[in-house]
Amino acid sequence: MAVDWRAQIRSNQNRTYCIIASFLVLYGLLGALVALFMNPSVSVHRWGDVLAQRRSLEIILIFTVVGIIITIVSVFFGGRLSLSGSSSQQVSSNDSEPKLKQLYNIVEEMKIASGLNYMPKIYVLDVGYLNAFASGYSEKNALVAITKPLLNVLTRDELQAVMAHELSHIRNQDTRVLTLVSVMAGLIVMVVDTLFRGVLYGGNSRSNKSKGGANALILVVVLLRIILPILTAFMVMYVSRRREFLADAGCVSLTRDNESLANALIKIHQYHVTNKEEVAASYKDTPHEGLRSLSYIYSPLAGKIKNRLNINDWFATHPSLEQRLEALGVAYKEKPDHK
Amino acid sequence: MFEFLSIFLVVVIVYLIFVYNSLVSLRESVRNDLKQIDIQLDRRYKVFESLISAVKKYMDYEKTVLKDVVSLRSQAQSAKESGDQSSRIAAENAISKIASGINVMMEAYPDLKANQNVMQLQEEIVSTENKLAFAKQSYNDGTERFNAKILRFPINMIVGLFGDQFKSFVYWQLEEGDSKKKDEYMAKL
Repeated sequence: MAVDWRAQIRSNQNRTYCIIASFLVLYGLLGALVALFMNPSVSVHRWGDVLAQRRSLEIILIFTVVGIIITIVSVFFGGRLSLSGSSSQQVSSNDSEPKLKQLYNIVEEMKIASGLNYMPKIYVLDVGYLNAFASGYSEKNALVAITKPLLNVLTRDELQAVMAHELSHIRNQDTRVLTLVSVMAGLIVMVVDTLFRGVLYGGNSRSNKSKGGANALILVVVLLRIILPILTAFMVMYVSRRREFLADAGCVSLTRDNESLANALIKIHQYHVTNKEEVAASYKDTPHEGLRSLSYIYSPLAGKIKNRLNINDWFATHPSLEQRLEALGVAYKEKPDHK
Repeated sequence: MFEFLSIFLVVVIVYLIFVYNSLVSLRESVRNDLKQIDIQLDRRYKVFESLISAVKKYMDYEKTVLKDVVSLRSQAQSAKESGDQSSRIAAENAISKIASGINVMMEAYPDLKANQNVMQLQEEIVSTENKLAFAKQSYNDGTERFNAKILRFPINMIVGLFGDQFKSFVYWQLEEGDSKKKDEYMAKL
């Protein structure tokens, strides 16, 4: 076959190790930073001595342990976490609703075609935009998710193409890299966000009692809220930019059909373009988008919908629609009358 | 001279081990795909049984169809037991033809089409046929990789050393005359 997805698997395995190693190093360094922050008056050449102190080492250790815990959580619960922030419904083999039953059948068909050993879990998300993604560290706890509006607008063939694309991500182990990167970067932001809100809104009642201590806490939380996303953002660099092309190619080699995927992508794109305001609002109102945005089949950025609070949106994580359609061998012109 | 020879021998043995192992893993993946086809064929037969009992009320067409499916299925079973791959493929392909026939027949019965049960069964037929098609596709892809490997130089020279462990697989395909007929098919309205 023309597409060497086996090479992609090997490269993704190496990436996995690099991501975990650099993540733990990052947390160690963060611990060192905090330790230095606690002795602000020390000059540069005495940093070594400060870091050698027992208290500093303890801080570094705590941060590293937190990093390890986050890694473990990402590996075991990464898939589940990527669903958070929206209400989702799991689809099972004996669903009576025809559309859900069809979805289950389609995923089962693609599982056979792609030679996966485990049936991924299937979720339907009740949100207002058209998108789909796959997630999960291993084949065993992998899941595919599709939003309800997308499920309703696609024909059987197009749905099949979208699911083939997602299962190619699972087979190529892109989901492993993406889950690690987005959950590792996103999880701590989630925690800090919760603290941040608590500090912001709960601040008044506490301010009377112990102003000094609360202020230091607020300062640390605010600092982490700003620094952490920026530090973890560079992990996005591990995400292969070729992965979408490879998954598109994988979809074509599974279904032997390039037009359905192209049609599905065009449908999603046009929906994003024509209903721009609603869709943008819907992306914004759904919490924890950062946990999913890397894995989406279609990046809202391609529909010019940008969320500046989402670090992942600072990078071009997906190829453009034109590039993908060209690779699929389908000509596409933006409809002149789309206004 | 002796050292040179022994190094050469070691290299050859390592190469043979490598070739042998890769052939085994390719062969097993094809066998696995073949088992997957069996599973899907079995499943399809069950779907057919429930479909035929559901449409019984509506059409008398089913009596001959049921007989055909049962006899083709037993043909396929006996061919499988005797290891006759090509006549088995022929019998199973004949059932596939009946499947598409049933879907066309249903269009002619309006109250049948409206029946919720039958609608679900129709989706089941489509899905079952798809699953079968994808299992065959996966089998053929694996067969292609395995056959190409054992036929390519220099492995085609070596493969005899392992006895008859590595025989090329038969592609799952339509019969010769059948594909010609489909190729020349024209829709008449």
